[in-house]
Amino acid sequence: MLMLILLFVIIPALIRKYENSLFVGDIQFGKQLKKWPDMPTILGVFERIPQIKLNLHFMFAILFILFSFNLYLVKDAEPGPMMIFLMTLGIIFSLLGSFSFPHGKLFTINNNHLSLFFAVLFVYLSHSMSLFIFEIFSLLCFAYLAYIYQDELFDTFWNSIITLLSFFIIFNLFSGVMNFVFIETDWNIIWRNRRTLLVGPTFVDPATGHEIWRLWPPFYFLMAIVGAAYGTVGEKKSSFLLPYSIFAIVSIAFLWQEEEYYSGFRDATITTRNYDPVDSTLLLLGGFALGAGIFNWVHSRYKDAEEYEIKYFQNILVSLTIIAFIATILILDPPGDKEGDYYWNSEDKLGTGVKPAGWGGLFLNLIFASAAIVVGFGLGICLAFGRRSDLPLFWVPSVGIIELVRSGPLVAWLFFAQILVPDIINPVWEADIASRVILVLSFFFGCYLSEVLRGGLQAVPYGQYEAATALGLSPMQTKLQIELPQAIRTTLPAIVSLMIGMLKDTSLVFFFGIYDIFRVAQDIPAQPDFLGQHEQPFLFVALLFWMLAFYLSRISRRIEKNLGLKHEGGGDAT
Amino acid sequence: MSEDIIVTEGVTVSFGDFQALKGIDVRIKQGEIIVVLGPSGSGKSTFIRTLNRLQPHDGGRVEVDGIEINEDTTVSDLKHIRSEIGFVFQQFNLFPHLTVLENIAIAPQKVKGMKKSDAEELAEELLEKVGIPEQKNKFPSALSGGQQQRVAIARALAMDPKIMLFDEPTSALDPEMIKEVLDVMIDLAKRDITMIVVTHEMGFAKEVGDRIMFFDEGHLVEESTPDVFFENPKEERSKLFLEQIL
Repeated sequence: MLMLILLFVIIPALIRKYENSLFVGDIQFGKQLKKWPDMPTILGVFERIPQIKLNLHFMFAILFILFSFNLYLVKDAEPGPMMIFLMTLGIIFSLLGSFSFPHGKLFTINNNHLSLFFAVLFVYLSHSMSLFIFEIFSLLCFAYLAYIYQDELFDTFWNSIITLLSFFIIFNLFSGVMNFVFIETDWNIIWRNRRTLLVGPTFVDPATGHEIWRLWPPFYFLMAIVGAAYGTVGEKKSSFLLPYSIFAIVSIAFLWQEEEYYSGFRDATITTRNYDPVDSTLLLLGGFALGAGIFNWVHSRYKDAEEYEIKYFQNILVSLTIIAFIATILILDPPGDKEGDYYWNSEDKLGTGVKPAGWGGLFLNLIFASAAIVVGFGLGICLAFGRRSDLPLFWVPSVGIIELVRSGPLVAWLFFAQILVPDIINPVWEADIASRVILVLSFFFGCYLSEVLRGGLQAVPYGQYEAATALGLSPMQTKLQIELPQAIRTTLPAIVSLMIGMLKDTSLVFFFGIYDIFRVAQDIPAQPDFLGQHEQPFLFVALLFWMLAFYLSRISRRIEKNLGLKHEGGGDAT
Repeated sequence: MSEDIIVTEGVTVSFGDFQALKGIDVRIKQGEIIVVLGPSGSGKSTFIRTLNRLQPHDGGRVEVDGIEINEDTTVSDLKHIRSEIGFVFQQFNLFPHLTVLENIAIAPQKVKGMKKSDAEELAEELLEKVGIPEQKNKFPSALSGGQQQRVAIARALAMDPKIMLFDEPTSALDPEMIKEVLDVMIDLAKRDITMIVVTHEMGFAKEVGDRIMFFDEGHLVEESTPDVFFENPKEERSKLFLEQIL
């Protein structure tokens, strides 16, 4: 790489600079030397490659072909007749589609995309087949990409050097990651334990696995709410349905369960009991269909609706979400410890439920985080107003709680929940560790939220308070109806980053024998089949958390848009 | 005596060392239109703010509709007084998170306990009156300044007040929008509603005002009818003020 820089960037630059002072005598040699190529000149060899414009379907077809090629040659897999049939069908349809759609109707593939695609592909092939020649091919593809963008990449001397150096670093990094992810690493540990990672050991264990039905209503609630929420946004249908269906297909593929599966906690391959893979796939499909259906209905109803109508619907939706959340908790763990405590505890009704200590996996993280966020929100609002109050009765305890909770790290508070809280509250309420952890998380979230909200409340113009007071609204009404909504509007980005933080903080519960996704990831490498494979579970967990955090931040940006913040500045003072 | 809806005696207000009001005595009859003039910093805004206790006074007596306003006024009396007094701000102070309709309907609902549908019906009527019924479902930030101020007037009227206080309602507006707001106010003046208007619109003061009050440095300098005030002011200070602005 340094050679490349020296030969084609530094030497040509030097020649340019000194061409007048050097070689005055030997004109012939000077002429030769002036032809010394620099980077754009070299890349000029790609000039003859014609511009290609392809339809997205064509790309699918190529992908399909390459995929089957990979299956046959690289992995030595033996696809069954069904697989071959499906693949052939896929190729035919994709090719047909690519010719029947007009160009530019969907995403059009041009040379840039193609060269990038093949560059990545060749990197992959060079690793998977251990052939160095593919790496050269890939470099050629990258060079072609550089040719396309040469005006940006090689316009000045320093830019050329930076381009080449950074390409060198990125290429090696990328190639290493590719090798690690696709070639060297055996992801079977994730594949075998995927249900455990998502819902925890209790719902997978054959003895208690039938309780998994408790997770279906929450899933349906979630899908319905997601569909409805996106329906109100009023964007094009495809901008929701396309990512949504991709997500649905991936989830179904991911959760497809063979008849037999591996239960790491029993150290054996076990035939599924009380679990029907076909049923669960159908249920999954049903959930996604419900989401899409509700999206369609809401979308068509509110597409051209007035802004205020949408707002009313969204308010209802928020209330429904909280109700659904409470219902979820009640379905998972209805009150009453044994059969007959309440009438719903009998076997044919809700049963006795699964205690929070039995929840697990990513699902537990989500439940804990949402519980902490819901409870913490109420708490945070009270604390924020308490701290702004003039009455010592309110502000002294508020400041006390906020400063106390913020003074300790979350881990310390969780240990507090485990060791000290039982001594304090057991006489009143015998909470299990999970409930105590939720309590501590709520307090933690509430305290940080209250400070964020306080900032937002301070930013509400004094005129708003005056206007509300002059209208005769009571101080409480002024706070809840006028000041709080505006404070939440302005602090939304900060609130969302707190939420993301809370979601990740829930993984700290792995200290206390609660099987959250992080704890599961830590424990599954103890299974005899996958002994010591620690990297894969952690990387997988990291990927999941990244996706969730990224998704949340995308949502928050969208909410900001929808809150009318984009209109701000239209009026003079408001 | 009973027809005096607002009575103040020796009202003083201080901000730290600065005394904004130095003893104001006024008597305002039901249905009167009072225009308060004066240079900036003269205490005119502070004065009308004391009338609904947005600005607590330190000395003297304020009586509105037979109820004395001070720190001992009960919450329910204060609430009653505030619902009797509509207040229109210089900066509109509409609630940006509510639609125009909700801005107007919120007070009748929350303070008077009116049903939501009734309140919204009332709000639509009022919007009709101020001339912008078609804007009802927009958010305030989507309106022009003049429209916003008209919504603010409608919002104050929604409580069916006996008294309307205007604190420089047109000062934050572009010149071409001032007229639409003034028209609404002139319309309002024809009704039996007591209005106290702090403004710099001399035309409005001449045309509509029953009485002019001229404030300077915390004192009520002159109190006279528009004719007298503009043609033949009694006080030296008033003359100086009029020379500067006319």
